[in-house]
Amino acid sequence: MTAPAQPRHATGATVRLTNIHQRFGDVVAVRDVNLEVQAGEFLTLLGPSGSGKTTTLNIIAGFLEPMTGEVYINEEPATFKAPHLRNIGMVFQNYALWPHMTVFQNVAFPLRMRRESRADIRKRVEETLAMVRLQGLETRLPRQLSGGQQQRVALARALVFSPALLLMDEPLGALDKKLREQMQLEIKHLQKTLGITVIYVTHDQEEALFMSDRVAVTNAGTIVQIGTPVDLYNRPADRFVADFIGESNFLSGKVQSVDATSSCRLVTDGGSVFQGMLGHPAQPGDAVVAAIRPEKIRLQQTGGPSAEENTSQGSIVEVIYLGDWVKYRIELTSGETIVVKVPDRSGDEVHRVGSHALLAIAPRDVMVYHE
Amino acid sequence: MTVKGELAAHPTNREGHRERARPRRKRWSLETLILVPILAYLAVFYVYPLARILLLSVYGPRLTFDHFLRMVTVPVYTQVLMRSFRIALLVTVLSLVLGYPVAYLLSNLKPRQVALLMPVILVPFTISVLVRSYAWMAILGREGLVNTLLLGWLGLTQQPLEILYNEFGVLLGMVHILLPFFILPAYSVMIRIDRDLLKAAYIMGATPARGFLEVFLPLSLPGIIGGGLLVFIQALGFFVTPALLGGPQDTMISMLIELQISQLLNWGFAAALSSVLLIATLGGFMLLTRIVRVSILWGEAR
Amino acid sequence: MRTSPPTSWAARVGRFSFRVYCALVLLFLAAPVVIVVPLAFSSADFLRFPPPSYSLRWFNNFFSRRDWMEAAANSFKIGFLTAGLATVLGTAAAYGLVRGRSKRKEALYAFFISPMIVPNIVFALALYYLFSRLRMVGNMWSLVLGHTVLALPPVIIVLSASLQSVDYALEQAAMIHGARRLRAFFEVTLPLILPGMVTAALFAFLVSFDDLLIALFLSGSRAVTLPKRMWDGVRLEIDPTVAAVALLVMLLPTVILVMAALLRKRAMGRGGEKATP
Repeated sequence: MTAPAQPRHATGATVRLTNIHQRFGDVVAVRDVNLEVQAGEFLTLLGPSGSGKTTTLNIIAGFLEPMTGEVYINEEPATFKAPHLRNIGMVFQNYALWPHMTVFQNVAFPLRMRRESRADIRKRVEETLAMVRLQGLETRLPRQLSGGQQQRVALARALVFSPALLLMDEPLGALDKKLREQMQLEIKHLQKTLGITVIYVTHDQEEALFMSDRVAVTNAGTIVQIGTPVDLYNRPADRFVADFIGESNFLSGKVQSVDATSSCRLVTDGGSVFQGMLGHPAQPGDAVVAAIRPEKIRLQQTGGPSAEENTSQGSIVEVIYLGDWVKYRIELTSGETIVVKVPDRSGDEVHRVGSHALLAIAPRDVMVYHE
Repeated sequence: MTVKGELAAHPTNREGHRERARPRRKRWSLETLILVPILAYLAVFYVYPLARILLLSVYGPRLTFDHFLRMVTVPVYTQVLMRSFRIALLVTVLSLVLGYPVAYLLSNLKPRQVALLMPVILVPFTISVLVRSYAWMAILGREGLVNTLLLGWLGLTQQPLEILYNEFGVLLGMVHILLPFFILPAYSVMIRIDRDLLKAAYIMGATPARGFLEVFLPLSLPGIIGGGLLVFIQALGFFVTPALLGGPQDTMISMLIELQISQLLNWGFAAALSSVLLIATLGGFMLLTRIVRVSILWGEAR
Repeated sequence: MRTSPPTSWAARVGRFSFRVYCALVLLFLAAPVVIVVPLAFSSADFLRFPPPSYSLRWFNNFFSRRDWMEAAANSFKIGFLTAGLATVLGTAAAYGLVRGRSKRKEALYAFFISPMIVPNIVFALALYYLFSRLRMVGNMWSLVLGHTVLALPPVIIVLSASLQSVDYALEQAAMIHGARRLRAFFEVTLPLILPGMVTAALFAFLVSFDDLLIALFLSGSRAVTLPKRMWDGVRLEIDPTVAAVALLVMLLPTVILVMAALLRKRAMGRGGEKATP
C-alpha cells in the first residue's frame, strides 16, 4: 500500500476513530470502525446507501455519540465534545443554508459565533467569497441563487473560520454532470491550497477515485478496504469492492491449485482454465469467482499472447460503441459471456458481430475471491 | 492547533487513555427535557382534576357505587343516558349522509375550486358554538326565519311549526355544528385515494356505480369511520346546543351534570355521570386511534 | 377531474342532482352564519325574523352597559394570557415531539391532543372542583390556566406542522459552525417558525375567547367572560343585545382566519421549507 502524498502546508487536523459501533434499534449502522486520517489528507468514505458512511460522519461531527469507541481529533479525545466546540466545517447534502439570512450572514455566522470583530468578519467573509468566486452576491438570499451557487456558499461558510477539518456529506449529488465535475476540481484545488483535512462522503465511485488521496470503501457498516484509488482499482480486497468500483466480469469456478505467492489456477464452470491472483487465502476445491476488468482484457488482434497470459476465445455477440471506448460482449467457447472494453484508436477497425475473437489476460488482472 | 508529526502506535482502549474513566454521558437530551414543562402542566391542571373527579364518583367519604346504581335504576336518569346515545347516533348518521357527498365532491375538484369552497366549511367552523346555536334559535323560532317564510311569505302552513325546543331542533343544530368534523377527515382520506385505482376498475369493465362501490367506498372507509367516531364522541358530550335548542324532555348527559352541580350540589352523582361520559368518550377515541392514524385527520384541516 | 367514462342522459341527471344536493348541504352550513347579520341590526325587542326595522340600538346597548364591557374586557385579557402561555408551552412540546427520537411519540401526541376529545363539561367540572378547593373561583387566572389546556391541542398541531417544514440540517449546520444548542434554536429555528407561532397564538386566543363551559363554572361574579354574559342573556332575558354581540364575536374569527392565511402566504414566500437545490 503506497503512503499518501504529503501536502505542502500541513495545517490540517488528524482524525482517529477507534472501535466505533452504533446501532439504531435492530439495525447496526456502524460496526467496529477503525480509521486514521492524516493531516491534510483528502479521505473519502465510499459506499452504497445505508452502508454507514453518513452515520460515521455524524459521529465525527458530534451529532451522534457512538455506543462504543472513541473519536480523536488532533489526538485529543472528542467523542463527547459538543459539535460547536470541535472547530469543524461541514457541507451538508442539501446545503442547509439558512433561508432567512443573506449570503453574507450565512457565511459570517461561524465568525460571529467566535466573536470576531465586525471589521474582521467583513474582511474574511469577502475573502472567502472571493475564494469560491461568489463576490458580489453578499446581499442575496439563498432562494435567489442557483444550485451551484448555493453549494459554494455552503463551502464558503464551512471554510471562513479556517478550520483544520472539513466534512462533506454528498455535497454534489444534486448538481448536473458538468457542474459536478467543475466543482470536484474546485474543491480538490481548494483543499490542496489550504492544506486542510477533508473527510468526504459519496456513493459515486468515480468522484471518489478522482478527488481522494485515499478511499475507504464501506459496506453494511464496516470499512471493507482502505487505500489509494490505484490500489482500490487494481487490487480490490474482495468481491464487493471489485464490483462496486469500476466494472468487472465475474466468472464462477473452482480452485484447482494454489502456490506460495498467492497465485492460483482455477477452472471456471464452463471449463476455461485461468491463472490468477488470490484476493484472500483459499484451498484447492474452494468455490470462487474470478473478477476481470473489461479493459484489462486484450484482443490478440493487436499482438500474440505472451507466455504468462491466459488465453481464451469466443465470438462477438454484441458491439456497443461509446465514442471513446468500444465494448464487445463475447461468448466464449466455454459458454460464458465476457465483456471486453477497448479504446477506440483511429486506425483500429471496429469488429463486427459474429467475428471471432482471441483474448489475452495477464494473471495479475484476474482477481480471485470466494464465492 | 499543532500537527502531530507521526501518529502514535495503536494504543488499545484498555490502557493509556486517562479520560476513559469518565462514564458514558446520560442520554437526557434537550428534546426530552423540553417536554417536562408541558407534562408537568398537564399533570397538574388536566390529569389530576380529571382523576379526582373519577375518584369522586366512587369514593367520598366512603367507597360506594350508589351513584352508578342511581344512573341505571332511576328511570329519568336512564332515559337521559339512552337519549344521549340515541341522539349522538342519529347525529352521526345524519352527518354521514349529508357530509359524505360533500367530501366526495370536494376531493374531485381542482385545487382552485377547493380553495373557494373550503371557507364555506371552515368559516362557520371557527365561529363559536354559542353564536351558531343562537343563530339556529333565530331560524327555528316561532317568529324565526323558517316560520316567517312558510307562514308569511309562502303561505304553506296555517300555524307556526314547532321546530324549536324539541328534538328536531336539537338534531338540526348539532348536525350543523358537527358536520365539518365529518367532512374534513373524510376529505382528508378521500383525497389520498389514488384515482388510477378507479381508472383500472373502469378499464376492466366496471360501471361508474360499480367502481364507486367496489373501489372507492371501501378505500374511503377509514375516513368514514374516523369522521363518524369523531362526530359521535363529540355529540355525546354536547352541552350548548341541546341546552339552547331543546326542551325539558331533551335533556342530555352534559346538561344533567350541570344541573346536578349548579342546582343540587350533588358532586358524587355528577362525578359518576362524568365518569360514564369520559370513559365512553375515551373508549371511542382509543378505537379511533386504532383504526385511523390520528394525524391524518388534521392533515388537511388546518 | 374526470375519471368516469362518458355519460348517458340518466347519469347526467344523477350528477346534476348530486351537485344540487351538495349545494344544499353547503347552504345549510353557511346559512345560520348569515342570519345573525340582519338580526343584530333589528329594532325589535325579541328574536324576530325578518326584523321589523333596523337600528343600531343593540350595539349601543352593548357598548354602554358596564356588565357587557367588563365581560368583553375580561375575555380579551384572558384570551391574550392564554395565547401567550399556550404558545410557549406548546412550542416547547412541539419541538420535543418533532425533534425527539422517542418511540412514544404517537402516544405523547395523542395525549397532548386529547383535551380536544375529552367532553368539555367533564373537564369544566373537574376544574371547578380543583379551583373551588383552591378558592380561585371568580379569579381570572383559573380561567387562563383552564383555557390553556384547551388551547394546547391546536397550538401543538400548528407548530408540529411548522417545525416539520424546517430541516433539522439547518440547526445542525448552526451547531457545527459554532452555535450552542440554544443559540442555534434562537438564530435559526425560531425565525423560521415565527409565522406558525403567531398562527398558533391566534387560534389559542380564539379557543379561550369562545369558551363557555369553563367560564360557566369558574367565572363567578368577578371574572365574567363574554360568552358567559351572552349565555345569561339568552337564558335569563331574551335580550337581542346578544345578537349584536354575536355579530361582533363572529367577526373576530374571520379576521383571525384572514390573518392566519396571510401569514401562511408570507411563510411560503420566505422559503422556510427544506432547501431545494
